Amino acid sequence: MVDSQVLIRIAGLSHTYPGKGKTPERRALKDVHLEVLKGEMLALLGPNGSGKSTLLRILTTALKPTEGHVQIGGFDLGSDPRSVRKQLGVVFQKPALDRKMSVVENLVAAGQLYGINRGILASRISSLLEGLALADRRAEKVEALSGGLARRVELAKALLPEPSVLILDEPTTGLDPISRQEFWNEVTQLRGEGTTVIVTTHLLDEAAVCDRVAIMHEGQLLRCAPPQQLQRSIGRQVLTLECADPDGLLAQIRADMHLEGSVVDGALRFSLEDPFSLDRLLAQCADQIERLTLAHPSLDDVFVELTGKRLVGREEGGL
Amino acid sequence: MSATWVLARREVVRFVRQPTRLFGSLAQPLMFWFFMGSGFSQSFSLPGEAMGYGEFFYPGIVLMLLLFAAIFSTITLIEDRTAGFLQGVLVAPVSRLSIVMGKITGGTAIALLQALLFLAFAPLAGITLSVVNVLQLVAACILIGLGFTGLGFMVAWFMDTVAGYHAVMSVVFIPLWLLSGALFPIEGAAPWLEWLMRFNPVTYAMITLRAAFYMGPEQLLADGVFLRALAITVGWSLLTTLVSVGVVRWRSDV
Repeated sequence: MVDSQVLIRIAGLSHTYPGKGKTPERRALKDVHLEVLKGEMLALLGPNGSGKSTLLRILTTALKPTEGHVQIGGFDLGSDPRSVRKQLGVVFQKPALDRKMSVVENLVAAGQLYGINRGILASRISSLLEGLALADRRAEKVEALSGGLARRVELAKALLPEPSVLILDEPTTGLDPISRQEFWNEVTQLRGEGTTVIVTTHLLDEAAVCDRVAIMHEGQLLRCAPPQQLQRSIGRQVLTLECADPDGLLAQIRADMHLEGSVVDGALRFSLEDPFSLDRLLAQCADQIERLTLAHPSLDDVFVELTGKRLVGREEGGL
Repeated sequence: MSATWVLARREVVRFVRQPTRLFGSLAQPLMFWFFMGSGFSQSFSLPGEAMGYGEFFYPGIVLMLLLFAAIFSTITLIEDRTAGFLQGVLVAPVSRLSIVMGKITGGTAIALLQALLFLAFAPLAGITLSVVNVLQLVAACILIGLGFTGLGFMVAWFMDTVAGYHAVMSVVFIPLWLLSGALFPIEGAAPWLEWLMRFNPVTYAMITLRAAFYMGPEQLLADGVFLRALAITVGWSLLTTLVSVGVVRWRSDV
C-alpha cells in the first residue's frame, strides 16, 4: 500500500554535460519536476539518451546537477549529500562488485562502508543471502557467478543498509529472461515493505509492473502517471496498418473515413476512442493492407503518442 | 570500521591474492639491480669513496620499487572505475577524504611490504642494516610511498584507460626516478642535468632514503642536507595527498 508521504522532491532539475574537444556541450536533462511517494515503485521509461540515467546519477549523488534541487527524505542533495547517501541503496547498470572477492567479502566491505555494526552486519548478510537464495554461494568469488546470480548479489548489497530508497539503473541489462524474471520477483517483493523503488528501464513490461511510469524523452519528463492511466489516456484501441504506401493510404483514410493518424516507422497508426468499423476499412482498403493490428494501447503506444517515435529496444523482450 | 581501513585492506588483500604481481614486484627490482649493478661495476666510481655501483644503486632500486608499487596500486583505481566498483564506493556515505586515504594508504602498505622484502637482500649489496636503520627505512618508505601513491592517484583519477596511464608513467614517473640520483650521483652530472635534478622533488626522497640506510638518528638530526630533503619530501607527500582529495571532491562523476 503506497503511503501518501512524499519522500523525494525534484524541482527544476537540469543538467548539461560540458563540451570536450570537438564534442559540444549536451543538455541531458531539462527542467524536471517530480515527486516520489514513500513506498512507491516508479519506473523511468525512455530510450537511450533520454536523460533517465543522468537523472538517476544525480539522485545517487554521483553527478552534481547544473540547475535545480533534489530533496530525499528531507535532506538536500546539494548541501548534505552524505545524509542523502545513507538513505540510498543502488544497483548500477554496470556491476559494482569486486569480482576478485567472494560474495560475503563484497557484502562485508559494503556494510562496513555504510558503518553497519559488525554483529548486525553478519545477521543481515545471512538473512539477505538466505532470502535471495545465495546462501550456498557466499564463499564463491563473484567472477565465478552467472550474470543473474551476480545481479542478485548486487541487490543484496544495495539492500544491506536497509535503504528507504532503492535505485535500480537498468538492472536487468544483459540478463537472460529467466534471470530477469527472478530478479524482478525479488524487487516486487519489496513492495509493501515501505521501500521506495526507482528503476530506469527501456523495457515496457518492466515499467508496466510499477506504480507509476515517468516517460522521458530528450531530457524532458513528458508525463508521469500509473501505467493503466497512461494507456487509457491515448484511447481505447490502437490500430496499426502496414502497407506499401503508408502516406498514400493515410491520405485515403483521412478523406474517406475522417480518421486522423500518423506514420511511425513506416506503419500507419491510429488511436481510436470511438467504436470503429473494421469492415468498412477492409471494404475500402483491403487490397493495400499487408498487415493489420488492433490492440489495447501499450506503453510503447503512449510513447509514440507523446514523441512520434517508438521506444528503442522494445523488441528485446520483457518479463 | 572506518572507510579508509576497509578500502586499504581491500588493496592489500587483492595484492596478496595475485601471486604473479607479488613475484613480479620482487623479481623486477632484483633483476634491475643485478644486471645494472654488474654492468656498471667496472666503470663507476664515487670520488673519495670506495662504494661500488651495486651498493650505490641499491637504495635507488628501493626508490624505484616504491615508485612502481605506487604506480601499480593506483592503476587499480582505473580498473575499479572500469569494472564499476568505484561508483559503488562513491555513493556510499563516506567522506571523499576517507576514499582517497583508503587508496593511498593501501598503496603505501603494498609499497612498504615490497620494500621490506627487498631489504632482506641488502647484505648482498654490502650494506649492513641495524634495527634502527630498518626502522628509519620503514618511516622513509611510508613517507615516500604516500607521496608516490598520491601522485599516482592524482593522475589515475583523470585517466580513462590503463594504456593512457602507462603513457604518463613513461614520460613523467620514470624520468622523475631517473633524475633523482638513483642511477647516478647528482654531483658530477652535467650542469643542466644537475639543475633539473635539483628541481625534481623525488631527488629529495632519494637523499632521505639514502641517508636512512647509513646514518643513525643523531646524525640524521644534525645533517642539514637530510633535514632539508626530509622537509621537501614531507611537503610534496602532503601536497599530493591534499591535491588528490581536491580532485575527488572536484570531479566525482565517474
